[in-house]
Amino acid sequence: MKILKSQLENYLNSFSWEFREIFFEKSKTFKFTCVNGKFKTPSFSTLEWMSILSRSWNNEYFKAYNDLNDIFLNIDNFKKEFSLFDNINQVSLLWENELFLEDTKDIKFETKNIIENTLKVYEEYMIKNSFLKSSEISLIISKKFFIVWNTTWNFGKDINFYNTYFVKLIWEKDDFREEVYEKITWTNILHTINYDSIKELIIWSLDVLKKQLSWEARPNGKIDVIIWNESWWTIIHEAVGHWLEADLQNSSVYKDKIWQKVASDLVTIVDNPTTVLERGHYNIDHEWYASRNAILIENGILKSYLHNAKTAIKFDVESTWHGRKETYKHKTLVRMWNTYMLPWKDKKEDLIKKVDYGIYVSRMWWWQVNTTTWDFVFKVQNGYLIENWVLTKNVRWATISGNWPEMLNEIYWVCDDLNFFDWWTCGKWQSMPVSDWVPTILTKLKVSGF
Amino acid sequence: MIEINKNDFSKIIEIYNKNNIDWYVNIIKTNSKTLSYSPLHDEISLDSSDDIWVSVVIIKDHKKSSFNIDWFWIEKIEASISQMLELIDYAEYDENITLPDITDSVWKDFSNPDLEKIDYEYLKNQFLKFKNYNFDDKIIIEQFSAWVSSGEQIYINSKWAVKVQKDNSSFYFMEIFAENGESRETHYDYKTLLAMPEIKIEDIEKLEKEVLAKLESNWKISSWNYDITLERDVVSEFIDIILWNLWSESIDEWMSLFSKNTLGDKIFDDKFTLINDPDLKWYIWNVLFDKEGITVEKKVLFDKWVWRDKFYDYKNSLKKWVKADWNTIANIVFDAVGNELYLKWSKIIIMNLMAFHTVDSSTWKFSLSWEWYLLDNEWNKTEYIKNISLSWDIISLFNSIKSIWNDFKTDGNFKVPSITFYNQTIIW
Repeated sequence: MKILKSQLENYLNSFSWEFREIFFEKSKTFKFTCVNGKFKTPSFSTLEWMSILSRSWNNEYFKAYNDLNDIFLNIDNFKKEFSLFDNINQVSLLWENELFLEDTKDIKFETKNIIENTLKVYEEYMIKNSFLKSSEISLIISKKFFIVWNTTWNFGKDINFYNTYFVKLIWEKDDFREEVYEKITWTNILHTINYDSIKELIIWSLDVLKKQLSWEARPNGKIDVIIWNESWWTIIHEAVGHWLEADLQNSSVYKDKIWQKVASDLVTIVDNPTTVLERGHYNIDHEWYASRNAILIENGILKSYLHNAKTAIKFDVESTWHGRKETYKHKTLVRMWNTYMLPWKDKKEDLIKKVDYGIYVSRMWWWQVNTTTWDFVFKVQNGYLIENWVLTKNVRWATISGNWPEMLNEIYWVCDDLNFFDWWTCGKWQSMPVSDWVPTILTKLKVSGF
Repeated sequence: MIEINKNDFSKIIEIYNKNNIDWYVNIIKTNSKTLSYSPLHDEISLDSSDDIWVSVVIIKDHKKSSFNIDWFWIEKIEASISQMLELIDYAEYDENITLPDITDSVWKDFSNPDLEKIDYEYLKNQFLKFKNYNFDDKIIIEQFSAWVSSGEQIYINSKWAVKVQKDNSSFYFMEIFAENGESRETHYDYKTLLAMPEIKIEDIEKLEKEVLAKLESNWKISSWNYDITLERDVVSEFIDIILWNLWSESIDEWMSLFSKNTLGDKIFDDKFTLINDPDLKWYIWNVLFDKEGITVEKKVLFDKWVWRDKFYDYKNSLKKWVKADWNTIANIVFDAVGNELYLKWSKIIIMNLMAFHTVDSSTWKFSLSWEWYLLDNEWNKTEYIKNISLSWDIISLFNSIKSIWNDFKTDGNFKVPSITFYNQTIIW
């Protein structure tokens, strides 16, 4: 599909209000699920759709279409539906004279090796495990390319990858049932998943499951808690990230607290999507602005909210360019991409030597967050009791609970082991893949064993 | 209305015949109008969407593969077919994977014609009732949205059976935020309806009263065993989890909590009767046929504590020698006679789940802190209690039904009442 610059100028200049935007999206997704060694209905999805947005002070109009055959007709329908006939500012675009949109049929996913290696590892490592009751392995590969034109600047084009290789294992005997979830989420998953990486994931998952089955301790009370860098990624996202998004500042705990102390001196948190080849990287956001590193909290001081173009105008600040939308059907929101807390100098082994009674949490799973009061509870999926400065018994079926702002002020030690753990899906009105990185920390939280 | 012309499919039929493939297609068309309000920008947003989504399933040599596209373009299907044929080699082989034997053509309209009259002006008038309400000084508006949506689903298969069903629904959501310098709270109300979405002043007043009660309350109760009432929306959330564990295939694969049970087992309390009803007046999930084109019939899932039925797709119905009458969830009815004196049996009522993330899908155990109200001797809601933890499992909970209220939900797809349970442990 080819679009000329003159055509697009005509599109954008044909309807009204100060800010006008046209967004094209094409995507292709492949999915398979292997349950107990059987591949269930492998499937493809493709999208080729567009949306149109117009905004003036206090009013916004938005429409999504899934027919690109006649863009002028779509714009005409949009104008009529919302009575947007009077254009008040003309725009001239600054890019080359024509632009090609690739076709989804040209996107190819080479998945044959992944399927074959999954089956091989299943037969070698899972089918022989008599304690394993059931297993599910899923692969989702999604490539989305989009083009956005708007009247503020120019046009932008980028590709986002949303890929996951996911394992769920279930063990059940008598009245006991346990399950474990682990995954690989590299952006370039087709090149990084091979026989060795699948084998490593399965062996690791089986090991975690076995540890969950051998629990012995049920600690209680407000005690020292060491949270391993692979287990508390959701906290950084839920505790800090969301409440620094500018479009949530109507009632956020961080409202009007820029330059105030909100966390321990050891806490520096950023959202940085600029690092090429890392997960969470992008060149431009979904409003076409170039990615940049946003410093949110620096040594405990709140420095900035996350912004998109719209909130930056509202707050009269420079945007951090964190506008994102789930699909062409959605409007752009302020969203995190690649959020992390910077490491400090402590060693994990040294942290354990500082705790006479507490727990070391190596996996957390289900969680609940009260988004008004900031109280939270997480289930400890896998952990150890610390007694007299050494790890002793296994802990599971415990929860850790507390209050986010209090916890951020009660981080006593931060390790040097910053580690990416997860690219997962956040559900703030729209589903969006996000990634989070954290180091191991020592804090104090309420632990309830049950 | 989507026009289906057999000539449009001639090229596709030719492609599939050449490859000896059976197929069925679901075309889903939706139209929606939404009004939402952002208090941060003091901005009203009007959104509109016209969508068509096509799902194609191909069956070849007792294997199945699928693809979803945004419209039924011949070129896209041609491009996809070679990839699908390569993939289908890896798919599960099962002699029961065949095209359902469907040759009839039917049509049904479940929609409420009144909803077609809803325009942006109507939605705006509803919003203005909320925006112009004179809230207490401690309260600000947090969110508002309302929409109306209509849908049409068409099923076509390679035996040229054509089935069509239409539906529509409306929705509203309103949320307020309150702060008094020491404490912060939000409270919300929402409804999904097969009727006109109408914001009532008494609903806003109730919302205001409850958020202020939450804000001002410092009540605590001791850790103990109490008879506890779950409000009907909370009961719906629990029943939803039960339903998603009733697929025959997941049960056989040990992916379900019912995997260790068999039909006929007594699983829940004798007051627990659950029915899947695909044609229930004023509820929103009425359906004539499922995605495999199979006619949906009313089905008793649990009958006075006994597990009676599961959901079967066509493959699993052939395996079990039973009728495939439904493979997804329609309207759910908790079949019981409610008691007007329900509150007499309870000390505490749970009004809201803050979130449901902490339910372990494997063991059904959960640990949550919820929004509660303490009831006085006249069974009026008195003090609001917060930050109480509990740790139960869902099966034990539904084995402890003490009494059932007569306040069945009249919106959404769950016709369920509030329920009071015996002796549940609360940990402060």
